[in-house]
Amino acid sequence: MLSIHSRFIALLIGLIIIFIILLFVRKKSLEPMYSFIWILIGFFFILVSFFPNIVYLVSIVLGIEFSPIGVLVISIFGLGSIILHISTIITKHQRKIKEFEKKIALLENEKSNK
Amino acid sequence: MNEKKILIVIPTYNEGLIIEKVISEIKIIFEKVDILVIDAYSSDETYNQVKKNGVNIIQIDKIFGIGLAIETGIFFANKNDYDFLVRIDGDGQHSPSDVKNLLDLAINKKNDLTIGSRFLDKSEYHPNYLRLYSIKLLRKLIEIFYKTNVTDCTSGCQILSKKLIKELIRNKGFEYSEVGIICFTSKLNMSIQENFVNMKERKTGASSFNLTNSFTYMFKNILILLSSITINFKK
Repeated sequence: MLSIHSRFIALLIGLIIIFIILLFVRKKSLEPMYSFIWILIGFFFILVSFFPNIVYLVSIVLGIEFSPIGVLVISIFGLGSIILHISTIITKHQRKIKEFEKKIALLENEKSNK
Repeated sequence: MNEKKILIVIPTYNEGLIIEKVISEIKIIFEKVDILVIDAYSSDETYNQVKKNGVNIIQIDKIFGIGLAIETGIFFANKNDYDFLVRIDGDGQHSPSDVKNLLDLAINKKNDLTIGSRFLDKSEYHPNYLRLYSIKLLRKLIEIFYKTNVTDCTSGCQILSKKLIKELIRNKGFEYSEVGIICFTSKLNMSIQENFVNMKERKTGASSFNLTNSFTYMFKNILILLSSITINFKK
């Protein structure tokens, strides 16, 4: 079992994450749509602090004997999926930028030919 | 033969020394033709040289690659209702008379995609081995997955018909690449034909290809090729 101390820290981390994300959304430096996954992570920390058995359960499911490794595996998976998510967003933006570049170039051409 | 509206698209990057000659040669051989130069913000005299000759020029940033440059040309051709889009390189490596023959072929046979191949006859073009074998590999892959036999799938000399341009515009997600367009065309069961086009040795400027980006080029092309197939299966 996790000690009371570490459960308290997990709770604190979860609350800090959610607080910071909400602050970012308020300051408009983070799109609400993209904040979703981060808030989910904050909730996961809080969940773990209340039900520490989740960590052991996941370790057993994954076949890991030393449960702290289970925590690492989960977090690496989480980080990996966030990076993938961000990559898809970048791709979408790049596409949009390309479209704009194309349209602006044609408009400028039309303007200069008038 | 009734008059066809033809657009010649020439992507350039720092071709200031030769672009004037290329344009004047084209103007001599093709009587009625519109030229569109798509420049990647060259740091040399390319822009002024082209402007001086009274040719239309569009500037597209280099970071988007040659693909976006050609896409812009396709967009332009669609907007102004051209019948054929001829895409040639800006370094004077394609001889205009060969391109003229290719265009006549495209008009007579009503091909949707006409490719000027460098391998159908003896040409002056000698690519490095990596590039040569990657072209061969791509050719095999296209033959296997698309049942289309194309000897030179990375040729910089291609002629697109109006029908193909319309299809490309309708397909929002399409990104132009020499291989991508062959896959796209054969997927739609449109006609593809090849003819020999000589490619002269490069005289000025630097080719956009070297050993390191030959790898990325090949990787990108294979990825394009394979990812288009999965869409094919869904249909």
